Amino acid sequence: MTPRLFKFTNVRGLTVKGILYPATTKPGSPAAAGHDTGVVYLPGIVLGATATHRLGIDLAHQLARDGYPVCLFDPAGIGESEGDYPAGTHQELASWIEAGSCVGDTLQTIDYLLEHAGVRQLVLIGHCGGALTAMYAAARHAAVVGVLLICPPTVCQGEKEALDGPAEAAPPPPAPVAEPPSSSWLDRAIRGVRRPIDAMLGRGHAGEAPSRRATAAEKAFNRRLIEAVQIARADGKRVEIVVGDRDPDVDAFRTFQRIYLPEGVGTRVLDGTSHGFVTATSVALLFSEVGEFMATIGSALF
Amino acid sequence: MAGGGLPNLRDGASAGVDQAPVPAPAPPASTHVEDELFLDDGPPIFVTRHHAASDAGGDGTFAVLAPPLFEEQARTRKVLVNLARDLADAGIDAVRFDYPGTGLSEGASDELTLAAAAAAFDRAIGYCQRLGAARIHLFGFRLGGYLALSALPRLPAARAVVWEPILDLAGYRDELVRLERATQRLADGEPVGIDGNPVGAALLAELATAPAIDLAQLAPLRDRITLLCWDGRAIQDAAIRAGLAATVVPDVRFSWRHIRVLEPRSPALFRATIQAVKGA
Repeated sequence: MTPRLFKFTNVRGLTVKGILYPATTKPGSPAAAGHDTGVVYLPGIVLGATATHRLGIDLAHQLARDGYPVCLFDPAGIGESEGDYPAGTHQELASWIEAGSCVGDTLQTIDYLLEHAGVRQLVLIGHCGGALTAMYAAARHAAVVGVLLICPPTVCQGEKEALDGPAEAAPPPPAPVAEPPSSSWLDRAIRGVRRPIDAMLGRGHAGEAPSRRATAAEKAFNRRLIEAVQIARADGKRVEIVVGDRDPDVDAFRTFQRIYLPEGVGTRVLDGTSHGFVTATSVALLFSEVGEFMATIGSALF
Repeated sequence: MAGGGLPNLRDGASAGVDQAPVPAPAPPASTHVEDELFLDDGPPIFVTRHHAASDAGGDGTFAVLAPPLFEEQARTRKVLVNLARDLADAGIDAVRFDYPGTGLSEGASDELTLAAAAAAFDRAIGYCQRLGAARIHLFGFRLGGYLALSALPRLPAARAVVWEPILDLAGYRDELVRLERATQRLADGEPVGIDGNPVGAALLAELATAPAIDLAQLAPLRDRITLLCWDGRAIQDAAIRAGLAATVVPDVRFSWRHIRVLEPRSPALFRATIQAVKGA
């Protein structure tokens, strides 16, 4: 079935373009049963929906055969959509993504799909920087029930050396974080998920010095990502992270996993797999993982 | 990220989630009229028509833009989208397309053949003809440059503007395969395609045996050919030897080879291209 092209105007007046791969299973077949769940795939950096040897498009075809409609889109500034991303180095553009520059259009695309694609809930799957966008958006949209992060950059751009540096070079302890004076359920929930992090970092507790490793970790790891994971889990959303064992950031991920990931976040390190999933075997491993993840969505496990 | 309180991700505006450290240029209000579709007169290929701006004094001139292949295409996609928009702003209808099995077109990359890529180019030209184009010019980048220069002799009224055209597809194939072998070693030796794109044996065989473009043979068409390059002097030297004009454009930062530096548009290159399409 030929995919459907769509576009809408975002809140900044720019046209956002996307492509929707409809579910190709026959109505009434086991694969189609109960699939009011759609998928949005978010590629990395700023190359757009066709990036990384069309990994998202290939995945869309597989998931569509399994009965899930799948959307890829280009946020404003990227690919087919209007606007320009800022020119810069790869690292500068990774920072641009890391800062959440594509979250607004992702949320608006989710709204568009809920209205026009016949889905009731969505799973976000993001690769590299797209994983950050996926996680940030998943924490903010009630219709997102699951998020699968593929090789997410857990360390902030430019901070990897802080993590890798010698312990004696660790910076002094940070000032305690002041909690906002609020008693809303939301703030209470957020404080609830911050406390374990603060405890691990030795922050916010008078007289308790943070470990050097924790201080370095606080500086290096993406705290917005951490909080988004915490919020999503607090909301009962399913979160899984998949990393290749040949990904240059796999060691940082393992540290991130040990220090920060809350209970219930699935993780998988795929054998013989690089950041770019350039081999047929690594793609097959990934697609299998995605299939297993999708099978858990909508179940009564959470 | 160090220091300061955590942003509240449920409240994007106050948390600054959507605010970038590197501010993007302020976008102009949308004036683009664009049709996106799948051409279905064969294997479905993705096409976008960028309508000439109504106030730009268009005269029915169309330009068909043939892109590079595989990851070269992904790395430079935004540049070609913006070139098409600038052509449209200059009064030229621009039509972009993706080869079957690449970009947003349907099909598997390992089913792509050189003949199918050339056929897709012809189908995009046919699409312009059906739209009533008064004249059609060709643009090509890398593999698209090869296709544009190859098609030019049978389109007597067309001009061809090419960026860094591949003149020797057999050499291109060898380069890709060499790169892929290096990648394979890193990835544990599994047979794979080019930059992760599964590539069929038919395409590799076609590339190996495709005739190289001899610029000297194109000399009679010199008034209709513009070569623009920035990556090195090889193309320019070959053009000079053949009596063709080639321009080395300064200040082009993007590359089809890598993503160490990315830029969505290249003003000097776009200016030179639009002037050449217009025959100015």
